[in-house]
Amino acid sequence: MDGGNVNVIDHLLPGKGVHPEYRKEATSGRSIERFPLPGVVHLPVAQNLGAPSKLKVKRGEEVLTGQVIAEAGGYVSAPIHATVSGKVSKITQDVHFASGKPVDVVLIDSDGRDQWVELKKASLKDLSTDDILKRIWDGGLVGMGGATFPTHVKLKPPADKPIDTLIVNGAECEPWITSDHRMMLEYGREIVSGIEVMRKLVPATVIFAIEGNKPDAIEKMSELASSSRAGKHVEVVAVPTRYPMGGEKTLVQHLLDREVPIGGLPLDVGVVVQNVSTVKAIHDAVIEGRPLVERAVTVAGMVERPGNFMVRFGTPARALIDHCGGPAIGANEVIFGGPMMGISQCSFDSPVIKGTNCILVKRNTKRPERGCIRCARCISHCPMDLMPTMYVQFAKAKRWESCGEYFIDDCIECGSCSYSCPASIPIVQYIKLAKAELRKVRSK
Amino acid sequence: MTPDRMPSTDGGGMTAAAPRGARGEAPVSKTSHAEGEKGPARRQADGSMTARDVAAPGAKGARAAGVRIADTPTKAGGQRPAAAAKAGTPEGAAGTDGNATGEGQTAETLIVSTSPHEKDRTSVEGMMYLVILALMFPTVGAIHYFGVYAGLMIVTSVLTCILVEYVSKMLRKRPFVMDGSAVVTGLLLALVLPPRLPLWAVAIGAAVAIAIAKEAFGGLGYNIFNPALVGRAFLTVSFAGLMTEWVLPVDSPTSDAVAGATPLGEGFVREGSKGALYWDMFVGNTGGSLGETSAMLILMGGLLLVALRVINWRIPLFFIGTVTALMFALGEDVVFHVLAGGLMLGAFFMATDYVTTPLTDRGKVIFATSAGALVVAIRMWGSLPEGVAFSILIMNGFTPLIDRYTVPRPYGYVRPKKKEEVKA
Repeated sequence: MDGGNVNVIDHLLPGKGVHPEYRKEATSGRSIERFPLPGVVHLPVAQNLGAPSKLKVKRGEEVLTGQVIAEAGGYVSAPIHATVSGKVSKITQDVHFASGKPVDVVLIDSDGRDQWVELKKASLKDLSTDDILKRIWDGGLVGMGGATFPTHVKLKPPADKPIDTLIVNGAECEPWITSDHRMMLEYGREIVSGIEVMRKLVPATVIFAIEGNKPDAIEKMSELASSSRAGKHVEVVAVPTRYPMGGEKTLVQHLLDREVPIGGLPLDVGVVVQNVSTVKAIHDAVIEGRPLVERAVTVAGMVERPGNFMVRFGTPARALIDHCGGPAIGANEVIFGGPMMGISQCSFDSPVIKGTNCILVKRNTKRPERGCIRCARCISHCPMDLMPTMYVQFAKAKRWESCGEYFIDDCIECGSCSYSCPASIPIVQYIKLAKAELRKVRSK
Repeated sequence: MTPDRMPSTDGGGMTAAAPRGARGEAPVSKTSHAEGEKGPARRQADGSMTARDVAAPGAKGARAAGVRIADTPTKAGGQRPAAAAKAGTPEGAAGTDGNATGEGQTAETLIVSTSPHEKDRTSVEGMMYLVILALMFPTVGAIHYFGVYAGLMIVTSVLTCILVEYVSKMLRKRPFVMDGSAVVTGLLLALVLPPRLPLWAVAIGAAVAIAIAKEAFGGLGYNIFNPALVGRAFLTVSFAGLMTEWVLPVDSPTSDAVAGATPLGEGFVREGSKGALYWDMFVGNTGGSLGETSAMLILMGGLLLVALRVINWRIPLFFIGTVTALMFALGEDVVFHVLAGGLMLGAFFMATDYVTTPLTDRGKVIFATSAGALVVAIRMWGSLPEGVAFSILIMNGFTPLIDRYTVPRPYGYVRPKKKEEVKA
């Protein structure tokens, strides 16, 4: 039960990745509080990986909570729903929080009544697999661990790729974040129900992976899983507390000793990985008929009262940060996601969207970049066995193709290299640049 | 390299209104949205963004321009610091205007930087200081065995290195950073010199090490050959006589030294048992270079660095292991050859130099094994009594080649074509 001991052992185990300071204790004891409805929600029309959604509402239209405001823009896409009831006050264009590209944003003025569309509950045994997939798609489900890959795509593997393992990802390896941890403690039943739904689509063995620093969640999920119908197919496994254990690829490697091929997906090696919050959302969408309009968000870092909140999408970060006692003096960076892979925001008003698991307020402490001393720490910490320092060298020389030859496409941008670089080189930044430039070169 | 930008308080210090593109030639509204969606971005870049944006004008501009990533990358592709800020993604550059959020203010403008937003405690200085700490064992041993004059040589070497580095940086118009690497070079050079080398020669060696072997190649991180060993090699060929005058350990730090051969040298004679010789060689009570004689002290410092993971254990293990195995195969006195000469210091402190040795574990093994084999070859069949310095220098030259051919197999790598064709 002692998380501290687990950490010590993990430090001694050989392995790639890094051991950042976890600092989860700030919020791990805070239950998920329902966050008050915001007056206005800002809903970007691209909240998933793949094709952006297609706008369906007009200015001035009255909408209900859960009403579709944008349809899926293709198969690898998901619809977006109104997260409050009220009136569409404006449709504007803004900068997408992650890609930096312009995106349509729907502003809905809340009427404060939160009137829902009619929800169609269902019982799992009455639903065919197509019904289930349709309900998941209609529910606007995407991977809520941060990557926002549309969920229905993952759960309909092509016939030539048999799936033998379903991994439920409760590792939550990023420091500070505890939203998934709290979800497991507070919505365990819904998660188990979501596992049952998934097993109807993909009848495979389920491995429920939780990092060893969350013993209470391990205990709780083992208990709930064993008493459920899917019980005998579910194994709850404590994985080492080592970043980036929660990464899809690292998890597949650790649990099954399989490697997802470069450029491939876990289903290429017979695995489907779903984040715990997504699994809970699967239950909501399939059983309750409730579309995805909210998620658990950890607010942490330089705020007075950090905590976990169930937040409607479109709620501006500022509302949450103010609710938690505002940014502390000296804070100058707001990050959506964790400190290792999170994206720093250029405005306090960036809205919470489907992939936002954490709002981290911090002070930028980055040190100036120095020259590489070839210490090779980036190489020895790289979970993908790459040579990150070479990308820096190539990027400086604009040798983008050379980056490709050194397998830059395999990089998951976990940040272990920059984290461990004594010269404070922002290696991930160079890698992102090189990847973008390489794409341009290849598309020529 | 140049720490062009200091991210913290003066962080993203660029004007978001007129940011430069990655190549310093195009404004961001062009570069960052080169992928097609120019319309809205440009409109916003003009500053016509809605009031929803942050109160501060700078942040508004930044948001409007749709650009992010404020800090660092210096040379990613830009001629000037601001230009370089783009690095990373098509998103482009720019932080917030001025970003003068000091310690005592609450931010209204935000810094935008790439992940990760945290870093462990390691720093270049920290690692250098640990190496210096580890080198204190043989340094103290040098003074103990070879007297106050040894201390003078060490101080001369270190000070010359720092001074020459400073002057070189000034001449190259680069900022001088006291990162400790010059101290390491100075210490290492002194420790591989004969105990009574005149101080002027020490200074020349140190100057060559820094000015020619290190700074002429671009400074820390760019040199091909180990600077301390280049310094020593230069002195060996320039002042062959001085470089072969060996003395025996002194009785007290201030007493006069007596000439005598090193264990590897010609005419080395010693009475008493082999065991006693081994013991003297282990603790360092023999003639030899300042810091090379005591295997014990080098091991103490070296193992400390291995334990702290500052150096990779593979290099000393395979270096010394290869010498042991080959000497054994040749029927030589294995213990003698492991303890003699510069093998210990070379294996733990020279062949583990980050800059001049291969990056990958496999590369390090190849490097260390080859260097070990070269040591044996030089000692057995070469015209020099000792070959550690030259064997490492030779292998330094092969480092880029080794790096090229030891790229690790990455996660998820699938061997392309051939195999499947054969099966099909």
